[in-house]
Amino acid sequence: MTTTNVSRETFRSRRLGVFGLVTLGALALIAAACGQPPGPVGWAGAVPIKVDSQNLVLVNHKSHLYALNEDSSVAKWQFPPKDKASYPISSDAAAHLNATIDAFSIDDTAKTELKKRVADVSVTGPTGDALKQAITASGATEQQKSDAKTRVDIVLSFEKGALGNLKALYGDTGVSADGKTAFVPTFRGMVFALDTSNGNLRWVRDAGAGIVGGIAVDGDRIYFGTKANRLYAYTAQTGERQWEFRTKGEVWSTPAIDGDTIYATSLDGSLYALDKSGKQKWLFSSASSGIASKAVVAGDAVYVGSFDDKLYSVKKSDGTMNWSLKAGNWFWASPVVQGGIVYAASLDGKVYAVDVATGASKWEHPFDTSSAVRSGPVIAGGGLFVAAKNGRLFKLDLATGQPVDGATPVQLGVTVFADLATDGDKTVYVVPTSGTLYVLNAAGAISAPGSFPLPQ
Amino acid sequence: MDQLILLFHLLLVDPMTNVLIAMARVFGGNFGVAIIVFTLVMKIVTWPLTASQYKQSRAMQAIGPQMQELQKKYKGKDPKKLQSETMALYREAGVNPVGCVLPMLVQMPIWFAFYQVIRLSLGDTPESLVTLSGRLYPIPFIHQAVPLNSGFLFWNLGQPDTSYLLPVLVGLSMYVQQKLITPTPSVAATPQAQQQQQTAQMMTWMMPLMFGFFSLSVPAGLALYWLISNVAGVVMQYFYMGRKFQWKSLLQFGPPSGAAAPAVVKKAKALPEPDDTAADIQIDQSGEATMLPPQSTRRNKNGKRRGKR
Repeated sequence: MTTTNVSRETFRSRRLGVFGLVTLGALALIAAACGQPPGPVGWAGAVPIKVDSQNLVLVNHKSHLYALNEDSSVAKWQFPPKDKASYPISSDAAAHLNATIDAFSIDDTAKTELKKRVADVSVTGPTGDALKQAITASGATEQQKSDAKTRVDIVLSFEKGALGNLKALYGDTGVSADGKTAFVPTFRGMVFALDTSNGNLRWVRDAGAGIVGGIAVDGDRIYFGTKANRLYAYTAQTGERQWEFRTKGEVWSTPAIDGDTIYATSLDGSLYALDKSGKQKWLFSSASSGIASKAVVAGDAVYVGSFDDKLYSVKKSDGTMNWSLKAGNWFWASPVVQGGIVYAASLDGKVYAVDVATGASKWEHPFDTSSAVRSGPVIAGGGLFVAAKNGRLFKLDLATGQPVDGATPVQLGVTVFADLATDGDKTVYVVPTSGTLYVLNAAGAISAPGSFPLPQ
Repeated sequence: MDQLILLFHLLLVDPMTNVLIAMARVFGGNFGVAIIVFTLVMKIVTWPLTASQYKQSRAMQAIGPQMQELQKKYKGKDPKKLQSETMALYREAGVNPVGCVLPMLVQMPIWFAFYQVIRLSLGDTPESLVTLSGRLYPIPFIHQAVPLNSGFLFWNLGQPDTSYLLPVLVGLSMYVQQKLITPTPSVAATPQAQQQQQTAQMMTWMMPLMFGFFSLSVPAGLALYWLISNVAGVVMQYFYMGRKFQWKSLLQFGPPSGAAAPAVVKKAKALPEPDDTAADIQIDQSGEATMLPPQSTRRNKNGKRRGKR
C-alpha cells in the first residue's frame, strides 16, 4: 500500500469514527429531548378570598401561585416570589432562631440587636452570612454560637430548597376561616402556609411525598393526603403534625370535613371516615378501582366518583352503600349537590343528574359535552357550570340539563382540568392550563368571559 | 401528519396499551411481568421476520467477495452493467437486500409505540392518567385495572432508572446480541471491504452504548423491554446458529491483527452457474459462508439431481 493509500485509509477510518460519534451525539440529543416522561403541569383551581376588605383571587399556574386583584391581571403578590434574595425566611423559622438567641448568655440589648438581624434574613442572599457574623461577634459561649450558626444554615438550606422545587400545584389551596393564611400543597410534597396579605411564609413543612389533593381547613387544623398512602392532620397555626393515618393506596383528593368526621378517598378504592383524632369510624370499599374524586357530603349521604366508572352514594352513618350510577368512563370530578339532585360529570364527557335518594336520573338523558370532563362543576347564577377538557364551557339548566336559554357553549380553545370556582352567585372562575384566568358572569345565559393573563 | 399520528395510536399504541394493562391485571397488577411476557410474545410473533433477517444477512455476507469483484470490475466504467450483474448475483443467491432491513423497520414502530405505551400507562402525573382514560377500551376488566402499580423489583417503571443497573444490562445484552449478528472479522482485500468491516465492528460497540445511554433517560419500563428483547434475541439467534457461537469472541473488541493489510479475498467455495433459481448459503463452524448451487443443480448422495422436478 502506498503512502497516499495509507493516508486515505487513515482518513476514512477517522471519518468513520467521527461519523459514529456525531451520530451518537445526535441520537443522545434526541433521547434527551423526548426521552423524559412529560412532567407534571398542575391543575389547581382558583380560590376567591377577601383580605383586609380587598377581594383577591388565588390562581395557580404550573408551580406558581398568584394573588390577583379582582378582575385584573395585576398580582398583589406571587409565590414563590421572583426575588428570593429579598423574600424573608418564614416567621416560624425566625421564631426558632429568636428562641435560640434568647438562650444566649448575653444582655438583652445585644439579644435585641441580633433579633433585628434575624428579621432581615432572606431565603437567599448574603443576609444569612451577616447574621452568622453577628452571632460570632456576640458574647455568647462558643457552643451557643456554633449551635445558632448551624441552625441558621439548616433553616436557609431547607427553605431555599423548598422554594426552589415546587414541581406543580394540583391541590386546592386551603384558606383559614379568617382569610389570613393560605395553605398551599405541592406535587413535590411540601405544604406552605402563606400570609395572604403579602405572600410571606408563615411556615413550611415537608410531607415526604407528593400531594395531588388539596388542603382542608377546619378551625385550628388542616388535613391533607399524600402519594405515600397517608392522611395527615397539622396544626394550622404552627404546622405541627398532630397525627397520620395510613391508607392502603395513594390519597389524591382533598379530605371533606363534616361535623366531627373527616372523609377521605384513596386510590385503593376506598372511602375512609375518620374522627378528628385520626381513628377510623368506618370504611367503604365497594369500588372496584381507585377513587380520586373528593367526597361530597350532603344530607345523610356521602357522594364519591370512582375509576370503576361509578358514582356512589354512601350512608354517612355507617358507610353502607345507598346506590351507584354507572357511566361510560371514570368519575374524577367531584359532584355537586343541590335541591335533592346530585350533579356529576364523567370522563366519558357526560354530565349526569340523579336523585339523591334513589340515584334515578332526573334529566331525560345525560348532557353530552363531547369531551372528557375532569374539572369539577359548580352551581352559580341558577345554573350548572361545566368545563370540558377541550375548553368548552356550558351553563346548564338545573332542571332539564339543557344549556340555559339555548346558548351555545363558550369555546376557550385551551385545555381545562382544574375545578371551577365561584364566589357565590356572581362570578365563575376558570383556570385552564394556558396561564390565563377566565372570569364568567354567572347570571343569565353563558357569555364570553373576561380573560386575565397571569404574570409571567 | 395528525392523521398519521392518529392512525399510529389507533393501530399500535392503543391496542398495545390495552393488552398490556389487561396482562398486568392478569398477573396480579404487576406491570413488570406484563412487559416481560408481552416482549416475549412480540419476539415470537416477529420471529419469521427475524429469522428472515438473519438468513438474508448471512447470504449478503456470503456474496460479499463476488460483490467486491463486480465493483472492482465495473465501478466507474459501466454502472449499468454493474447494476444488472449485482441484481443477477442477488437473484442467484436468493438475496433480497430489503430483507435485511425490513424486520428492523417493522420493529421500529413497535419500539416507538411501546415508548408511548409506557408513558401513557405509567405516567407519574395526574394529567397522564386523564389521557390514559381516553385510550382505554370500554371493558370493565381493563378500566378497573388502572391506576397501575409502576413498581417492579426495585424500579419505578414509569421513571428513568437512576440505579444505572438497567442501562448497564441493556448495553451488555445488546453487545452480546451485536456480537452474534456481526460476522467474525476476516482479512479484507479492498478498502471498501475494510470499511464495511470497520462499520460492522463499530456497530458492535456503538449500538450498546447508544441504547445504554437512552436507557438512562427513558422510563425503566422501556429499558426493561429492550433488555428482555435483547436476551430473547441472543437465545433465539444462538439456537438458530446451531449453538456454534464462540463465546470467547465476546472479548474480541476489534478486527484481527493484519486486517488492514491487503490479502487474498476469502472467496466462496463454489460459485453458482448463472441460473434463475436461488442458491442457498451454508455457514460452516468457523463462520465462513459457502454458497451452494441452486437446488435445481444440486445432487443427492447418489449423484442424482434433486430439488425441482
